[in-house]
Amino acid sequence: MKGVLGETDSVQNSLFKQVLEPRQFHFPQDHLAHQAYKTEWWYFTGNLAEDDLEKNDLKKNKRKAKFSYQFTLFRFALRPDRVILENASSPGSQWHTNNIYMAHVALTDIQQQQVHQQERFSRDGLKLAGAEIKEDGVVQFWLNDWQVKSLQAHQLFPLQLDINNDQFALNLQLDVDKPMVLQGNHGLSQKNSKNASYYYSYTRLKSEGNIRINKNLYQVSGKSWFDREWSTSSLSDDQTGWDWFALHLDDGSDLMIYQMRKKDGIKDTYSSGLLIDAQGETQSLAAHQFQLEIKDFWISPVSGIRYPIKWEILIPDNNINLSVSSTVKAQEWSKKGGFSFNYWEGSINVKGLKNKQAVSGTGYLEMTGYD
Amino acid sequence: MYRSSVRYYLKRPLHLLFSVLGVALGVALVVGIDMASHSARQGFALSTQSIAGKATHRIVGSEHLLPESIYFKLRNELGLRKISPLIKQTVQFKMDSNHAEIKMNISDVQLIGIDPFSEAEIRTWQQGMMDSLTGDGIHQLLTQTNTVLVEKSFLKQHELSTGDTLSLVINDKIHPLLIIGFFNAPEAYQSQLKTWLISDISTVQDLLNFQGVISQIDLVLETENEFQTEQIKQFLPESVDLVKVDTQSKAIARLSQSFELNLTALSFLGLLVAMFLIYNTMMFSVVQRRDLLARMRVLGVSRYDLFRLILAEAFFIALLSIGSGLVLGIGLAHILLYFVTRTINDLYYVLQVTQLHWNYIIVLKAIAFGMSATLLSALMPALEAAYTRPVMALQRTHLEAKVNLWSHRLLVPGLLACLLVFAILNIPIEDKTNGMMLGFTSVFMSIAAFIFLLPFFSRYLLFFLAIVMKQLFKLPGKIAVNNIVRSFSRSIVAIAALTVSVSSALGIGIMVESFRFTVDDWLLGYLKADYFIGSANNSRSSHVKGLVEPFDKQLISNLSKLSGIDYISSDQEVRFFIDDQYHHLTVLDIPEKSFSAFHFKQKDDSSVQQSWLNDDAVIISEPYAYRYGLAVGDKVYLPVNKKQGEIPFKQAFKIVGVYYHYGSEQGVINMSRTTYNRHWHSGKLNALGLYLSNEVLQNQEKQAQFERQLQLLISGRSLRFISRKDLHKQSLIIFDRTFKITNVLKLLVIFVSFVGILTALMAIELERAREFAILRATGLTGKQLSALIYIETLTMGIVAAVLAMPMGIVLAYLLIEVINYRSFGWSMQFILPWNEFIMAGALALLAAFLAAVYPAWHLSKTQPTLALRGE
Repeated sequence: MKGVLGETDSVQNSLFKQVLEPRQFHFPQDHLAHQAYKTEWWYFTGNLAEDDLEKNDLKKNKRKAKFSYQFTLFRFALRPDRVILENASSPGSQWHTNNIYMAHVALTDIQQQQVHQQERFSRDGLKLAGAEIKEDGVVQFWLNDWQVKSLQAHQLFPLQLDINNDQFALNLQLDVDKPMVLQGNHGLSQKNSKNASYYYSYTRLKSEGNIRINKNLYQVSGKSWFDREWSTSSLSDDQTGWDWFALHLDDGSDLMIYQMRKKDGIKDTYSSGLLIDAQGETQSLAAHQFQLEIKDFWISPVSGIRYPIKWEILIPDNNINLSVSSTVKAQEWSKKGGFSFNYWEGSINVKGLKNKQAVSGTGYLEMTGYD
Repeated sequence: MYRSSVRYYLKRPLHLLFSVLGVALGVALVVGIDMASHSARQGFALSTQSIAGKATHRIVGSEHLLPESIYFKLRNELGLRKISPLIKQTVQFKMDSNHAEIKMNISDVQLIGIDPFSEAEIRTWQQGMMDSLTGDGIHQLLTQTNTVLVEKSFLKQHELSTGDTLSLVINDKIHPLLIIGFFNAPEAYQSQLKTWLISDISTVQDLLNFQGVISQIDLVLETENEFQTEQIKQFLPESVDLVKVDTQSKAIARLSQSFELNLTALSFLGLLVAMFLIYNTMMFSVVQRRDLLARMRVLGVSRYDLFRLILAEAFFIALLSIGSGLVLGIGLAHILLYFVTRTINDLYYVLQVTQLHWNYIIVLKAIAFGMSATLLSALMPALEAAYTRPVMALQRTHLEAKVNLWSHRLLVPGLLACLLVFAILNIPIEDKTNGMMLGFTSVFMSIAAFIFLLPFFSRYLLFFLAIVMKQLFKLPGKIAVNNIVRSFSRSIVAIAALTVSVSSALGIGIMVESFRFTVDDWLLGYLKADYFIGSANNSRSSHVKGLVEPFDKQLISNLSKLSGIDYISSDQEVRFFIDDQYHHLTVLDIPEKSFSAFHFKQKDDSSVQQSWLNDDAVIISEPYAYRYGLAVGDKVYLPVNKKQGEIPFKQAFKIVGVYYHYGSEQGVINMSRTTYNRHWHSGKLNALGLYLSNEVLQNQEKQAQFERQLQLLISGRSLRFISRKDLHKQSLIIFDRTFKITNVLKLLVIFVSFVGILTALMAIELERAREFAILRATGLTGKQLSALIYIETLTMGIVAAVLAMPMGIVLAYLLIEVINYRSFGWSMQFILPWNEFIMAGALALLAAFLAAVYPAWHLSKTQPTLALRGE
């Protein structure tokens, strides 16, 4: 699909709506597609463990299987000035499209150190992909038969996530454990001096259901994270990429941190973070309030790209010192591996100190721009 | 010894040329037809492959289009991934006015609508296409209507480049399309893909007015996974089928099989005539060298050596002939390909082939046929040479005496061959292809029988002609006929060659005329409505029918309000894919009195109409009955009334009549609207018939007004109307076009025979140079001598013409009653058109006359002394 996501020229870009000031969010409408903006995503990540095993298995001292998953739905708008030509006598083709949807699904089997990935593209014409409220009030995001459907009318949660492939399947029910949080400035996340996005998250979602890898079925439960973001442009010319962390700590708090990296390798001042305590109270973190230190690298045998897969997160004001490392190193999406983008997205284990207390947890790490 | 052969042929280059030319033409015919058919097949296979890509299965609709919702369901509900939708439609491409210097400014192209997102799983050639798009090309393709991608060589051919506009004619309207990119087709597919204009499926739907429908869905499935195929089948609505790609394309390719077999048979006829040529020249070379061969025998050369010598010569000639035959054949194939492709398009399926394809088998076949035909024809002359006796050889009468004897002895195999023909015709047919093969065998066997009987009848005919010619031309007449008789061994070959080709031409001519007469007569009774309305797109090909659903209720209701309308009949074409074969069902709603359009094979057809209307009964066309061995009282089974998720079952329909129908070679099942509606729901009509009141029909002004109103009603619906008279006329035009290729081949066969008779005469001239010289010396003027030659050849022409008449009738009979019936299942009326007979006679005489021009001129110029001195 080379070229499908090719950049539209800047003139066209300027015709899309820009994210300039905070907005009043309305739900469930804002869970759906925002056609006036160029890019948008729905981002589910989570760590799951196999539910308690039968007693027989315990006797054999069999360890619980652990998994992590990623389901991301991207929307890329094609033209801001799109006018669907209406033929007076006929309703016109249902295939007309102004959005390309892309989905990435990854399922990591932590015990087996195996990663299963799938990428799909679709047009939104003929309703082959989209994000809509159906007539019956069901909120739905989908790309072909990869679907997220709300289980109640007019509200997103609880929802059912269904991904079926030949190789693996994910059938999960997600429900809120903590309320939604607005990132950045009331949901406006500034990425550099010019560009910003609208960004909100459900940081802790109770997750349970089934996963299947090949012919093995597992009943699982765990925690998921849901990020929503849309914008028209993100990186500035001197930015190369970002490192994004989403952590579930076992004291009930969650932490989101991202740093925008500049071409000279220095952390951009537009990096930021958000600390959410067990009760859902939030505290924003400015760039100067945290440090991210790389502790180890992994060089991908597929792409040859070097990714930092071990980090140390320091938030001195909050007495937080966390060590983060990947559960499986090869959680990479690469063009050489047959996908459309180069990035690393995978589950991580967290260990460290918070207020001098030992703390641990799980989470997800996303790294872009290392190629 | 071999050197003497070389010297012999080098001294007579013309002789060599004719021997080579004869076989070369025969080989060229075989190669040309073989190659043209092969190219058509190959072209079809390539276009199937390039469309199918990696697909193993295909979902097709019985009405040629299927609802796009099926695609949505399969992808979004069933979760199939390796699946892609496609729209394919032949449209016309119009050159821009600034390219006016190109004469053919309208040509057929395939407008292809794809969904770029699902292509990669199915077709691979598009990969390059996406790469060729620069900047926001893919965005343009998706979001801007009327943008296309074309094959690179298409750009070159039409001097276009990216950014230019090209014009398509769709439903009589011109649509400008912007070329936003190109793709490089893999070489193997280039000839197919260069007429493809690829666009986004949304653009194509809007251009063609195909909203809501697509042509097909291609899928990659695990072939052994029957659970999956069953699961998919349950998703499909009525009259939509999941078929295997290879069985479907085989079924389509099979449609034109009979047509191709007929062509092949015709090419062998050409080769047969060519065999006369080689026989003639080889025999002549032997006879001419009798003294030389006799001397060799005296010198101790064995019979076997002489036999080998002649066969070696034949082998050498064969080599030369096959070489030039292949070259000629390729040239011929170019011409024939055009006709073959057009006929296939007219009658069978959409096909665009511009490139010749060949394979080793074609070449090997040509070598095998050329070689065996040459060696077989040279066998007799070689034996003749081998049995040359040293003394007797010098006396020509020996050979002639033998020929005399043969002409009687050949009666026996001739009569035996006749018996064999009867026997072959009475072999019960179990397999259609075998039946056709036996049919062709009977044709060739009867030609053989004729050839055997020819000398006998020719002798008596000549005996009679001697008297006539003497009456007409006095002494020269008598001498001329006597000359033929005296050199009977050679003249009979010339006569035979001419007779076979003229009678073949006559036989084919009678067959075509009979066929045309039958079709004409049938159309006269079959077309009942006064006007027909059909899709405007379907003029180019009968395969693509019912493209849209333009016959909505509104239109029909409007039509019925037109003044002068008595009845509106309707026709729906439905296609079933059963047991790897397409079965065509025609659903008719016609006024009761129009049922008389059907003429049934059975004598008692009084109850047919009632059953057809009211029972679960159908009538079937004659070719359908023949193809599937069905008769009145049998049943046909059709998949009916399938609700989603239900396993389809087959409903039996009783056959109550077999009717004459020449509209489809595949045959059709014919069902009344009421019967159809009991089992199916789809009502997409393909054509309407309008019956007018006499009041309108008898008043030209009213009729013209009616036509204007009709045009107004259907405008903008990609429909067109045609009067009964014009439809009749158009059908016959297509009929005639179909037989153009037959005429081309007929002419070629005649040309071969013309060369044959010319060689024979040249041989006679050369051999009798001395004889003629004596005649000249004894006072015959040059003019008289050439008159003598003309009388002689004309006499031969007359013999051929007379004998070709009965032979032509027999051949026509076999072609009509055996070949055509066995190939297509059509029975025809047998007519003897006088103009064909006159043409055949004229042809024989003209060929004879033309063949005499050069020898007559040459001999009359020859100085008698020169010829005599040659001794």
